[in-house]
Amino acid sequence: MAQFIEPFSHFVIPTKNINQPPMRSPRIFVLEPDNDVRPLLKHNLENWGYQVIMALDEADALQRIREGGERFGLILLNQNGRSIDEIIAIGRQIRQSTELDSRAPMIVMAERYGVELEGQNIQVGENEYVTYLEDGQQLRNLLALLCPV
Amino acid sequence: MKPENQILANLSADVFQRLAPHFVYVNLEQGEIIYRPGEPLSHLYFPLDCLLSLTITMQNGATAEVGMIGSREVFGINAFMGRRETTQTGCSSQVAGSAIKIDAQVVRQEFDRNGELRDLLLRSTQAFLAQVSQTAACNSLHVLEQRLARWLLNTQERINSNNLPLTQEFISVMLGVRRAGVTLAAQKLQERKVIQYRRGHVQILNQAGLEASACECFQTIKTEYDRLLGEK
Repeated sequence: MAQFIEPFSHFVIPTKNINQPPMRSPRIFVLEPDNDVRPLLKHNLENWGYQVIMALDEADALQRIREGGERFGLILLNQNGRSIDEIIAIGRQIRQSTELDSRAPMIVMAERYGVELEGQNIQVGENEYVTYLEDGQQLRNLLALLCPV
Repeated sequence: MKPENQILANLSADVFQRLAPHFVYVNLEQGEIIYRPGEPLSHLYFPLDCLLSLTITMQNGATAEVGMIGSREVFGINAFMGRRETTQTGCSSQVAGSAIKIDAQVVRQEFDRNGELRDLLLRSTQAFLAQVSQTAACNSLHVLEQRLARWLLNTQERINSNNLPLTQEFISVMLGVRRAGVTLAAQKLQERKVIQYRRGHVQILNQAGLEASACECFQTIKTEYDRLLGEK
C-alpha cells in the first residue's frame, strides 16, 4: 500500500565523528537512458557526496552488476517513457541480480504528474519509493534520508 | 505615449498614428491558444509584457518551442509574407500579460504602401529568424544547463522581469526535454545561487552568473536584435 513519507525536517542526519576513520562515500546505482539528463544527474549526485555507477539502459545495468560485483547503497531510476510498475520491475531485477544488496532502497523519479503530486515522495513497496520532484533539493533530501552521506 | 513593444516603439509618429486606431489591447492568460496550425491568420500580436511561444507538435504529441515572441517581436509575420496561414507552427501564451492586437489586413495594406513599416517589419523578421536559427543550433550543440540558462535570459529580456512565473514542467515542454533534466539543471544553477526556484516561479538572483552559465547563444541573439532593431 502506498505510504507518504514524513516531512524531512523531522529527520536528523547524523554528523560525523572526527575520531572515526574517513568513510567511503555511499555508492548509488543509477539507470538513466536520457543523454541530456545523465550528466546533470551524475554531477548533482557527486556534488552531494555520492559515488555514482551509471547505466544507460536495462541491459547495460544488468551487465554492469554481473561484471562489477560491487556493493551499492541505493538504486535510482528515471521513469523515462515507461510505466511506474515497469520501471519498478526493472529496479527489482537489478536488485535481485546482486545478492549482497538485496535490501538496497530504490527510488523512481516520476516523469509526468500534476501539481497535486509535486513535492511528494510515496512509498510503494518495501524500501521502494516514487518521487514526484518539485525541485532538485527534494531528491537530495530523500537521498540523505535513505542513503546518508 | 508609445507602448513597450520594441517594434511599435521604433515606428515614426506618423506611421504609429495611422495604425493606432486599429489597436486592441488584450490580456492573455497563461496557456491561452493564440493560433492553431492551418488556421487563417486574422490578427497580429505585439506583446507588451506577455510572452508567446511558437511551438511545433509532432505526430506522437510531443511538443517543443521553436521561437519566443515577447516585447522585442511581433506574432503573425506570415500576414505580410505571402500566405496567411502556417501549416506547422502554433502559438500560445506562456507568460500571462498584455499585448496589442491588430487586424492582419490593416497591417498588410500598410506594409504594401509604406516603406518605413515594411523595412521595420522585415528587419524584425530577420531578427526573429536569427533567434530561431541560433536556437536550433543551440539545441543540437549545447548541454541542457546552458540551454536552460539561455532560455531564462531570453524570457527575462522579453518580459522585463527577474521573476518568471514558470513551472519546471512547462519549461521542459518548451525546451523539448524531460522534466527531470530541467529539475537537475535548475538545481545546479540554484546551488550556484544564480536562480531560485519556488513552486512555479523562477527568480533570477545573479544576472552575470546566469549569463556565465549560458552558452554564447543568448549574447549572439541579443547582439543581432540590437543591431537590427536598436538596443532595448
